[in-house]
Amino acid sequence: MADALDEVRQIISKHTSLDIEALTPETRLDAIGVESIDLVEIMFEIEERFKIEVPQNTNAGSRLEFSTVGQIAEGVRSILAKSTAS
Amino acid sequence: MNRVAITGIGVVSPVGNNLEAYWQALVEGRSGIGPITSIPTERLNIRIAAEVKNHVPEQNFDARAVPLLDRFAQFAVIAARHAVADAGLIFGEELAQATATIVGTGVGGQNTLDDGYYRLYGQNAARLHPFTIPRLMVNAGASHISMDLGLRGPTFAVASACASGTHAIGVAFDMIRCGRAAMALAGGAEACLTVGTLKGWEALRVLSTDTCRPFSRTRSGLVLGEGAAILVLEPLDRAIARDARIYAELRGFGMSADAADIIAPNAKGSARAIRAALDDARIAEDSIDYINAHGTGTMLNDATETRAIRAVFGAHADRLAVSSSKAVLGHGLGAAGALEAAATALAIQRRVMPPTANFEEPDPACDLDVIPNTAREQRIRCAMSNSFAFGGLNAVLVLGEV
Repeated sequence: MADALDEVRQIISKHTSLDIEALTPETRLDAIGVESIDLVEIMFEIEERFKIEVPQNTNAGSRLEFSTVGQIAEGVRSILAKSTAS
Repeated sequence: MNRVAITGIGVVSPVGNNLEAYWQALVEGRSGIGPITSIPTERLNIRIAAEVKNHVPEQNFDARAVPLLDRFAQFAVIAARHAVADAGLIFGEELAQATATIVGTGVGGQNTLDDGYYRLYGQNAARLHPFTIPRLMVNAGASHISMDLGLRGPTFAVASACASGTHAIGVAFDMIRCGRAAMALAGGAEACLTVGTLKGWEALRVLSTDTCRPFSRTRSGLVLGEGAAILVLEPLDRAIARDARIYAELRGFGMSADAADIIAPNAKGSARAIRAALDDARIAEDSIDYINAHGTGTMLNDATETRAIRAVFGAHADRLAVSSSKAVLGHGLGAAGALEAAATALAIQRRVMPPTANFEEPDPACDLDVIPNTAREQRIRCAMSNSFAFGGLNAVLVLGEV
């Protein structure tokens, strides 16, 4: 599912106006100026695109760690895998 | 300028509509947060809130009047009736014409809007109820109080999201100070626990899934609430002359706008409102013994509010005590500031500082004396009630003992 990463890169690229090539799995969100409120919008787009629910709260105790582009893609993959399994 | 006394309090709250029950829950830290029961929850990810329990409109209103009143307006009127009875007031013609009614609300008749749109777009209904518009308008709460009690003075709604109730009380305070009104009913009312509103809040990702733990390191977000609180405000001289019971004196009011972010709180903007309230009250920082904080239980609010308090109070920040009532009441949005001003007035009168309930662990980012879980018997010379709203709108009241 390399797709998830590409889609996530696309969404973040659109949101940040950064070139998609500049976004690697290791790119840290704080390094590209993505704050918690931006992440809320990015999550919304991801949920709409993949038709999933991402249980991410901007407060501490978040169940998913979203510090890098790759972590978001990984989170999406695991949610997709769970929804296919069930 | 008139000095202004708080002589009546009425509440409709997640922990009861009786003032003693309300105060007892705050003091004992008994939370009104629980599973949502008043609306269908299948489509909700977050299924907890601080609801007003056992509210039966027909027990409070004539059957013919019920279709005219959204839930938020019902709460407003019930709280106003309690406040007037509590103040021992009977309105003659002259006083009725000089009494202001100012009610803060964040969104107005949200139940009416949600139900109407569900019928229209969801069920393809051909028409809406004829009272849809008068029910949903933001001023409906203020208008219904005025009609119910026959109050004919300046009457309007104030909207500043989570600071609405505080702004409403502050505006009424100013009107009595300058003699524009002889008496005022002021406060806030909110009832927006609808599927539509809750989905909107869910999407913001600031709601807790378990409970509200202000200032705790383990806090997980805010919990929505609802309710109303109305205060009776009158010139101190008048209150003394009629031998009224005085809860507290309103001493100062400060406002500011962050002009920064539409959602994120801003320590500088908050601090300016706190400073303005102290200046308006003409008191030094060290006169404040207790702060009823905005304390929503989000990571960002509680840490930002701590910084704002430290910025204004300096070394005195380590001597004053701070608590948030939102662990007990949830976040009543437009009603919150009024419910909390009521709590602050009661704290002064009873000489008890209500605790921050649900507290688990200290957070270095919230390193104030937050009165964890256990109330404190202590005289309060002056207290402060903070409200910092979405939209960067801040309102702070200073209350003092009489």
